Parts: sequence; C-alpha cells; structure tokens
Amino acid sequence: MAKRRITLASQTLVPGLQHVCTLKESAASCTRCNACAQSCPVYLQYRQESFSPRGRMQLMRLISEGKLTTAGSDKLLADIANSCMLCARCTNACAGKIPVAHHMLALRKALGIKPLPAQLYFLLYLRGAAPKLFDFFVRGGLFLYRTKLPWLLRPLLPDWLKHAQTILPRGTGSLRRLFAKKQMDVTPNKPKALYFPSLYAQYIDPQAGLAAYQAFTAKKPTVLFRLPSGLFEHLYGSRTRTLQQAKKVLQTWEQYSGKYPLPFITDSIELYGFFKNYPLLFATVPGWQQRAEKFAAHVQFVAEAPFPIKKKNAPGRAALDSSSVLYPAGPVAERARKLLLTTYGKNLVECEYSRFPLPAASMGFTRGSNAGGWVLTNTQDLARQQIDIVYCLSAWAALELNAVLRRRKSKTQARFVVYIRTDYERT
Amino acid sequence: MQIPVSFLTACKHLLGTNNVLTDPVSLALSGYDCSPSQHRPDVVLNISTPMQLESVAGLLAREKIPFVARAAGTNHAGSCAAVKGGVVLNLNALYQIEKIDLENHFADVLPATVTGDLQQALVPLGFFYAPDPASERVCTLGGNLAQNASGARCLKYGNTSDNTLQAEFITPDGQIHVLRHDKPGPDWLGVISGSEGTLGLIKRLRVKILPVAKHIKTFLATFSSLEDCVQTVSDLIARGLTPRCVEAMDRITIQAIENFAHAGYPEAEALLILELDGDAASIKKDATLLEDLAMQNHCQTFTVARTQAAREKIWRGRRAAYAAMATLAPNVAVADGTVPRSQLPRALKQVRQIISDYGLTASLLFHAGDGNFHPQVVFDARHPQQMYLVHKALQEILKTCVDYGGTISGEHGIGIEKRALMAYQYSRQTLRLFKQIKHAFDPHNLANPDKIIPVNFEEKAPLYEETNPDVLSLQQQILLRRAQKQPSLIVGAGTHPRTYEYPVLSTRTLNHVLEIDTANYTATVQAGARVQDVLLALQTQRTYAKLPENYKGTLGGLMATKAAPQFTSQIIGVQAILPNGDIVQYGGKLMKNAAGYNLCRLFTGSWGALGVITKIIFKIYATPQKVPPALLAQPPSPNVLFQALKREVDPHYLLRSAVFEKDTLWQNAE
Repeated sequence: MAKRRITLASQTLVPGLQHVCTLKESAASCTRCNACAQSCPVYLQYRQESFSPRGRMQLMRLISEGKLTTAGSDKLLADIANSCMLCARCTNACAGKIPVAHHMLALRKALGIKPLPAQLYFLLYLRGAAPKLFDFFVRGGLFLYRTKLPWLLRPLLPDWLKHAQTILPRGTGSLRRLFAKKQMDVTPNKPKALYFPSLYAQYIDPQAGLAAYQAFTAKKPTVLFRLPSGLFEHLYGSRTRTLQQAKKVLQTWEQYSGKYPLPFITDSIELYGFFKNYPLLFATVPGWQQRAEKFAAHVQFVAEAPFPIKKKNAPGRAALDSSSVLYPAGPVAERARKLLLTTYGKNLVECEYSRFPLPAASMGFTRGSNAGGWVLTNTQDLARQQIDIVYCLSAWAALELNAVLRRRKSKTQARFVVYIRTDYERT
Repeated sequence: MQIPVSFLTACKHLLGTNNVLTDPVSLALSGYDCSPSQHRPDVVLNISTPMQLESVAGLLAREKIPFVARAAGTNHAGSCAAVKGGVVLNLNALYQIEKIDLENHFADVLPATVTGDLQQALVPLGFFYAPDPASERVCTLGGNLAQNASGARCLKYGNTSDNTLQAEFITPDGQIHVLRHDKPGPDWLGVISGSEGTLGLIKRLRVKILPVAKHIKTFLATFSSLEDCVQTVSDLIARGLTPRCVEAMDRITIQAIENFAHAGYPEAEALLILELDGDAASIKKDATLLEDLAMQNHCQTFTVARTQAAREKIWRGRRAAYAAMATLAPNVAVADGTVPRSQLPRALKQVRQIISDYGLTASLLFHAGDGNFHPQVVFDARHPQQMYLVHKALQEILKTCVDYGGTISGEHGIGIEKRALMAYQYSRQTLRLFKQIKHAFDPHNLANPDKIIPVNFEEKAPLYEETNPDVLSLQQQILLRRAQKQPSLIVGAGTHPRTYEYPVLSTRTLNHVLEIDTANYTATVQAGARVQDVLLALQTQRTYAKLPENYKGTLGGLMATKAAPQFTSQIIGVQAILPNGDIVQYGGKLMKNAAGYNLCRLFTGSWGALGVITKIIFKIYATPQKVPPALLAQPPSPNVLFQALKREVDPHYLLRSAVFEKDTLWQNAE
C-alpha cells in the first residue's frame, strides 16, 4: 500500500486561547487531560480513544509533526474526520479552548473528503450564483414533497435526500417570496441596522423571519441582507470560494455602513459564530484583516420572538443545548441560560457534561450519515430526566431534534431559544 | 513484539473483527495518558462486556502476551503507556451502574463507570460517593481504584481503597478472585488498590455510598503567610475537628483563578477553603471554634458562604484552578508530593525556592489536611530546553518530599514517570519485596509490565540500615535460623492458643512506644507493645486511637491476625523483617501514599507468614473514638495469592504460621 503523507493546509489558522495560532501550535497545546471526553456525543457512542476529542487532537499532532502516514488507515482517518459533529462542546469543556472542530475541518480538507454529494454542491453553487434558480429548486422540492411522491420513492432516495425529507416538511416557502407578496420594501433609504436571516427563517419558517424583520423595522429602519455568508463553502467547499463570498458580505456591509458602522444582526448561532470569526478567515489575506475585525465587532445575535417564553405557561422541566457549529457559543449561551433560569428556576436542567449529548442535531449535513441514529439513542436521556422542552441556540438544531423526537414518539419538544436580545437594544 | 495470528483470530471470533484494532492510527492513539509518556501497543482490543474481559484475560494468559488495561487514561504518571508493546484493553465500554443498594449503602459498578456519573446518579437519592478526584467528570471508578485516587474529601472519608468494599479481580493467569477488605487473611483489596494494573484486571466493583449530610457549610479564610494557613489546619485537627474538605492555595494560584474564573477570592498570600458537614448544632459549634482558631493564627479575612450560590462560587474557583493555569502557557505539568502535615510549611518553602531557581512559573495547590500538594508548572512542550527544566525541577521537588519524610506520590501513582524516583524513596529490600509481590501475582510479567518498580533498583536503591538494637538482634536470630534451616514461629504476648510447637521468635523486646506525634496525629509503636499499654501511653498525652480495649495481645498480633478490622485503615506505616532477614519499611507519618504496593494492607492479616512486624505507625485522634471490641480471630485457609506470595517470600517455609499449618501444599513441601 502506498504510504501517503497527509499535508495540512499550512495557512490554516485556528482560534487559540489568547490569539490566533497555526494548526500545529494548537495541536501541541493539548495537555491530554481528557476533560473533553464526556462532553463529546461521538465519543459517548463509540467509547474509543480515536473518536474522542483528545484522540482527534493527538491525531492532528502526529499528522502535523509528520509522524503519521495514511498507510492502511485511509478509511479510519476519514471516519474520524467525518464523525466529528463540529458542535464545539469539547471546546467549551477544554481549559485551553482548543478548537477541535476546526482541526477536523482541516483534516477533512487535507484528506480530500467531500461529505456532500455532487448535487448538493451544485445547489450550493446556485445559491450564490443564481438565487432565483435556487429558490425555484427549493420550492420545487417542497411541491414534490406535498405530492407525497417522495414517500413512495423513499427506498430509492439517497441518504441525504431522505434526511432532507425528514427535515423539510415544515418548510412553507421562501422569505423572499413572502416579502414580494406583501410588497414590502426591504431596503430602506437610511438604514440603521442590517438583518441577516438564517436559512431557517428564509426557507423553513419564513413567517418567523417576517415577524423578526417587522420587529426590527418597528424600532429602526432595517435592511434585509440576503447574500451567501460563505459558511457552507467553509465547511464543504474551497477556501477561494469561501473568501469570495465572505468578501462580498463584507463589502456590502461597508457600503451600507458608510462612515458609521451599522449593527449586523443575525438569528443563526452558526452564522453568528462564523461572522465573529471572519478576522480568522482573512488573517492571511493582506489588507482585509482590519476590515474583518471591524465587521466582526458589529455582529450581533438576536433571536426574536417566534416563540416568546411566558412565565405562566412555562411547562415542566427544560434544558438548554448550547452546542453550535464550529464555535463555542460562549456568552450567547450564558445569556440564554440566565434567561431561561429566570423563567424555569430549578426546573432548568443543565445540559452539560455527558448529559443530553444531542448536538448531532445541529446543522443538518455537517455530520456523518449515521448520526441520526446516535441522536435517537441519546434522546432517551431526555425522557429519563423528564425534560419537557429542550431549547436549542440553533433553530436548525431544534428542527432536526424535533424530527428525531417525533420519530421516537417522545413527548419532549425542541424549540429555538428565543428572546436573546443582546446588544441590539443598546445600540 | 510479534502477536501470534492465532491470538488475533481468537480475539476476532470473541470480540468481532471491528473490535480488534491493529491499524497505526488506533495504535498511536492508545498508548498515552495525561503524562508526557507515549508507547504504542501492538493491538488494541475493545472490550464490551465483563464476560469478554474474562475470556480475553484467559487468552492473554495462555499466549503470555503483555497487556495494559485502559479506560479514561487521565492519570499523570504514564500508567497507561504500553512500555513493552503487547495488547491494550480498551475498557471504556464497560460503563454501567448495575445496582444501587440504599439499605446497605453500596453500589455495584463496572470498572469504566465515570466517577461523576455515579455521583450524579446518587444526587437525587440523597447519597454520595466520598472520593472526589479533581477529574471526576472524566476519570473512571476502576482507574480510581487502580491508582488509589483521592480528593478534597479524603481527609474525612478516606481514599478510593477505603471506599471500595469489594472487587472482582482477574489475575494475569486468568483466575477470578473476589477481594474484600474484611475477608480473613491479607487485605488483598488494599494491595491491589494503587497497583496501577500491574497485578491484574478489575472486572467489577462494589463501592461504598454515604447519605449526604443535611447541613454543609463552607468557609473561606485568608492568611498573610503559608505557615499560618497550615498551622490553622494542624490546630483544628488537634482540637478533634475533621472538616469534610480542607483545600489551600498560594498567591499565584489565587491570582490566576481570579483572572480566569472571578470566584471573588480576596488578595492574600494563602487561602484556605474549609467545609464542615453534620447536624446544624455541631456545625454551629465547630464554626465558632474554626473562626477562633483562624483568628489565633492571624487570619486576615474569614468568610462564611451563607447561600448555596456563594458556596458554589467558592468551589468554582477551586475547580477552575487547573484551567486557570492552562491559560498561562500551552502545557501544565502537575506533580503530586506528600509530606507529613507538620513539615508542609518548610517543604513548601523549599519547593518555591526550587521553582524560582529553575526560573519557572508554578502554582501551589494543596490538600492541607493530609500534607498533599500539587505544584502546577506551566511550560511550553515545544521547547525541549523548557521540558528538560520542568522535568528536573519536578524531580527535585519530589526528592524534597522524600527528604522531609514524605512520598513521591500521594494520589497520582508512579507509572513510568516517577519510576526512577522509587529507588530514592524506598530501600533495596523494600523494592525487592515489591518485586516479589508482583512476581507472585504475575510470574510472567504480563500485566502492565515494567511499571512502578525501577528496572535497575538493585544498583540504584540504597540498602536499608536499621539502628534499633532490638530489631537488629531479632534480624540476627532470623538470619541464624535461616542459615541452620530451622523453622520458627513468631510469638508476641502468647495470647493465641497454639497446637504446634516450633522454636520461638519473640517480639517481647520490641515493646516501646517510640513516638506520639501530636503535630501530625500519628503514633509510632513497636509491634511487641501490648495494645493496653499503648492505650495507656496515648492517654497520658490525651490522645486516642481506634484500638480495642479488650484485646490482651500485642499491637503486632492485632495487626497480623486482623482481630480489629476497623484498625486496618488506621495503619499508615509498617516495618517488618522478612524471612530472608531483609528489613522493609513502608509509609510513615503520611495520610496518603500511592507509591508502591500497600505493605500495611499486606501484613494485616498475614498471620506471621510473610515476616515479623516490628514497627507500626498509625493515626491517632484528639477525641475519644468509638471502637467495637476485638474479634476472636481464626487463621484462614490461604488462597492461591497467599500461597504464591508465601512461596516467593519464604520458599523454604522457615516462618511457620497458623495459616499454612494445615495446608497440604506445604506439608508436601516439607
């Protein structure tokens, strides 16, 4: 068997505890204390060192020091890289805040793994190049779905489509069309804020997106910002495409801002984390880093009002799943926790440590194809702890988790955590 | 090493093809733990049921392949590194709390059950599991027993060994033994705890669980010097107060924690966290005493956590100590030295000196109640020079501990990281006995080979030199009889009826109470002293021990016959003469010792078959203790382990013992 050395992209930088560092430096800073193990949903399922965050970091260390070849282990390496949920729970648990998810992403790229089928790459490409066509495909998909035809063809469908089929049922159309229908002007003359809706708000529950937008405009004129963020490309595509799209977002924001930078609001925890880390993305692009830093400073996370929590109606026991793709949720999760604590008090069960290892639910296709099964087994914990409602920071995660819970016929519900008005009101 | 194909095939049949891993990635990721050591095994076997573990152990014994058991791999000593290659048994899938019995206060668990999981399962039931190692959220109960881990609560509730009631143990020859502390004969459970997997595999555990005290109160006191801080702890123990936790830290640690976790610690040279539990009245009384003592020792601030939130805030800081240090540099090395409590201020001063001499940054955290301290040195592992300095400094720190009458490991174990230092702490004779114990359990050196005992100890370790003339004359007698091949029988006060007659080895001359140390609360007594005399001597100093008043024999007799089981956990040091005339010494005035096999537990219940006990060091108390009367001890019939060890230590059966008198094996040997 050929002994192929794995070469990691040398310019890849990852967040360190105090400053940005290279993959090699970051891997070397793992002290192997294993504090991360019990927070990793994949490890809790596999119970093998190779699939624990510590094992992953040691693997990256061996690779970055050139001590490991792929001889005979191609499949295992791909498994290790693909099985990471990118949920950043391990980073939350780590004293040195080592971004294991970033490492796994780098490993995927080094191994040349494309976790998505070609059709999806094409769709992703369309989303940037021809948004109207993309909308058409999505609506076409939804129409097909309503004809119940896919259910008949289900055995023939590829895995990713089956997954989409479980998730999409709640989709009612697109936000763009909704605005068109209502003849609303989404680009006011002198905007005071920009709203970047999540995919969820755009396609799955556009009514929620509309409500959020209306809430923002009621306070100050807000622009509906609709461009690909580059997150999907960052996860699955090439670095060049990611940078292209990120640059576009940055430039548009600068155009709107003029002299005075405007707040850039999003309701997706994934995008929030991604935007906050734009400086990291542009760290090696000359001239762009400062602009990115300025942009990142004005990004805000607001999840407004689709399901306001009312103290009176607050049901039984609740939990908060604070995992978010790639980036530890940090202050946002802390804020959400405090908020839920005021409503639920003692009935809020901490979702940390090995309890409720659910993040498999987050971000649809970032995970391995068998992840759905893991979530299914992990949900039994929710029943055992008699949790009535799980709040997720990510709407997408809530959606997927709900699909899983429905399959389990569980009484537990998952909801997108709401009403985290961060700095928005202040600015 | 070359693993036979037949073994791999058998394993694949047994465990499934997916669970027999030989690819370089899995091998590279299974040979390390929390320490810098790293050694690749040749095969990794994923064990998923206890039955599989049994069968694999049988296969390993048949093929004579070295193996290392591994679960969370959180030890700091390199105990999980496969030094000789061979097989790594991944036990992580053996996690299950099989039974929680609230009536009899125990829980049955599989070895890879995470300690924190058990704690969490017990919380709603109003119970808790006493040992609380800092890594309890990830470390496993089997690993805790193998390393004899302890934690903040150890001062009051004891370490893992004390809190384990029973273990199903698989010796390297594939035999299963059920080990308990209270079975007659040597306390094998005590011997295997802290053995780091070198004596065999733990298949199942029964641990003690305790009801949570209704009232718990946490205090925070700050001092202008470490000496005052430690003196406060000594004083409160002298007053008979045993807090649930006594944790202390120095200035650098306080600052690092404050910057990282904002626990609200005031600025000071030393900080003490104390926790009392019990009923409301006793806590109230103790709290007043505590405050008085702290004030006497020039305490700067004394805060009581009035709410649960305030309590949690104090502990959040303590728990964040490691993380706080990790923010200062990429790597943190943790050492684990223990000294007698009274030596703590002096030892800490010297440790600080060593750290500043080497130009390193380190925090000092310590379990002040038992003299165990953890210097956490921050460094960057990518610079070999720095690595070398850290290594040298830690070695020197541990040597300092030994110089102050302490040990190189209080709770982390030896592994291969501190193996060389064992020759500094123990004499050649003691290490030889360790080797004999290992050989008795594992004649082919298969279970976690080449750990704990230094390979070259015969050259490196010093010979033990005894000065006490009584002990020396007893040693001469033994040597003489050995030369003449004359069997002998150890006799103390002669209270045990004998039905057989051999020339006697009397411990009558060893009847002195050598020291009653009211700073450390330990007593050092020669084994020939009568228990009643010892109690009288203790009373003159107003101290008490868990010794039964009705026992008429000697202290050595009490220990050797295990007539008072509650006394077993009180013994912290022992000196004995082996049948070959070697004098061995283990332990000291130490509340914790995780270095080497626990000889105190080995000689307890040994019925004079392994050697003559000459000196015993045990814990004493400032308040009268409730002690059940001594039992009428009967010699047990020896199990396989006892027979194997006897054969190692005394191959010619010169030291006759009631245990082996009826044993046909030895009759034939004669």
